[in-house]
Amino acid sequence: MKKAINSHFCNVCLMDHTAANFQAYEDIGCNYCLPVLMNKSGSSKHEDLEKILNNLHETPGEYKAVVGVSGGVDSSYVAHLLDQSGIKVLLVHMDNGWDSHLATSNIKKIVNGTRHDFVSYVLYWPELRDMQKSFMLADVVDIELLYDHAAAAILYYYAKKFKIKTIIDGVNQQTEGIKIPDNWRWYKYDGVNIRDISRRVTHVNYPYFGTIDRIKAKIKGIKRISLLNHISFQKNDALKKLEDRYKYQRYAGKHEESTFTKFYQDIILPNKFGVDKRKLHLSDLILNREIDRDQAVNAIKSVKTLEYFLDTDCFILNKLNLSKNEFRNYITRPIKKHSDFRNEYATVNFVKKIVRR
Amino acid sequence: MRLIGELILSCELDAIKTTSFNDPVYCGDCLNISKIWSDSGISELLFSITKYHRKNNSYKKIGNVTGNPEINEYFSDYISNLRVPASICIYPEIEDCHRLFECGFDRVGFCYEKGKETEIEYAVDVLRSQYGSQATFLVYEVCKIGKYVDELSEFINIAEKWGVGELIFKDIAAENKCADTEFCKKLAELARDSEILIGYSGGLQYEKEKLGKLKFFSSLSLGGDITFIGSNNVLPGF
Repeated sequence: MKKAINSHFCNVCLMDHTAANFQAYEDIGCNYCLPVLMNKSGSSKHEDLEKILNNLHETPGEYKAVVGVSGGVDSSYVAHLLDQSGIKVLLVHMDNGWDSHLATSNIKKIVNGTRHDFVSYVLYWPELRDMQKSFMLADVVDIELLYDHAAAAILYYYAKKFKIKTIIDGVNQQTEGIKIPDNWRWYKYDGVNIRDISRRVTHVNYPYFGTIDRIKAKIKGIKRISLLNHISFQKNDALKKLEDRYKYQRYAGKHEESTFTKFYQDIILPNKFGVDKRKLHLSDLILNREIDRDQAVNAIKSVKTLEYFLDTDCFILNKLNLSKNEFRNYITRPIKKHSDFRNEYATVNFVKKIVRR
Repeated sequence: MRLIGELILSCELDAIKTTSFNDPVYCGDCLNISKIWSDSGISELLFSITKYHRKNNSYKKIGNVTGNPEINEYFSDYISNLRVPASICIYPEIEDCHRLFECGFDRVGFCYEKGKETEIEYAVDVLRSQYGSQATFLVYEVCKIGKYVDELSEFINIAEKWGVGELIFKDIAAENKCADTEFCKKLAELARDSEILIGYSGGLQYEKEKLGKLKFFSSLSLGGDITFIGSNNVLPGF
């Protein structure tokens, strides 16, 4: 029986009152970690996996699926698993101009070490830079919406191009099980929101893929599978295997394969929006029993200040063509909501209602 | 070990890839590519000025771009490991070479081409007398000219006669993946000193140990140090 308590912090994970609608319960966690804990009761994952792999084996065509790779551990491990199962896929990478050296190096190791083919889709940086600056000017929280949206669009593009019916991603409940709070993100297929926020930019190359496109793809039979949800995925074990087999190198933190994501999570989110995404990532690891809460609390103690960043690293501001003062001004401006701009919220709700019926 | 990254820039400073200097394909933000290379241990940047620029009437514009003092700030100030970049010219235009030196480039090189010897020799001579022989280098494009020992010996003799500062052997690829080790060994036998630079496509997959004292020139072609591999080489873009 869960009993709500008036606390700003969860005693099981690291989630706290900075997450929208946070509610802690006595002894058993909070409304963010509890659903994950309840979901972890043993299911027949391995049977599912066998069925998925058999289906992929029987799929006609050279490539059985499209797999997005960022150089991160999750997607790299998916590529490894499929290779071990003798399933050839097309690995697709989106180059958004922010790949770190380590990410490109890890991707290359995975590509060279497996039998998969690989393609890199390069987004046109000058256009992307202007769109990204528009997002910053708009003071909305989910700047990465631009990249997540494009990444999805590109996966569907290659699925269509090569007539592949399956897209496999590295999303998983074990290390990404906790729902991202609504005030930390926006709906990733919202092309209308992206267009409206960056309306001053001439859109030529950016690949849009809105809710309607997603429905069309579903009707055409293209399905998404989160393969890691069908195995007992342990991040540390996966890393060890990748290191041993491919000489994969680990990152200091989650999503650090992108220079911008690291900057966004280390500097923009905490300083402008009061959001520390490490709480979410470390909470996932606590729930997956890969670290304990004390270790996580210690890991979160170090904080990079805005001034430290401005003194030491000008690469990102230089690339975005922003001065230090412009960036300071951005950090201190009041924030706005994505819903202050045109969006697909109503369409999504409408579709959800129809699906429920 | 000296590693050199090669960039082909459009007039807008976009990094591009060309097929025989035609059909330019955008391959990423040059600043990020430079950063990735710098973090990979690349110590120098090399800009290719190609037929593409001449054909599209932008040869002079590129000269203006590279001639802009800001380009050095653009690349060097924010990427700490990089030295002042060098530049290769396919066709020697002495006027443009002067412009490159004026903006801080420390060397200008020429791609060796049969039938163009007089022109190249003249350009090397002019530049050598003004900037010193170390400011010039000669490039042998292996994929284009071939791997024949006679040709190589001839090339090395010519380079020595002209007094260029360095030789670069570019695009020595075996199955587009790694350096052709056998060819490199052949080169090592021909070389009289260790200042020969070996170049090949396919990123940084060099084999240091096998090739001993030879130095490497790494021609990195597509976005970062990623190259397309496999049977289906799909170019980016819709």
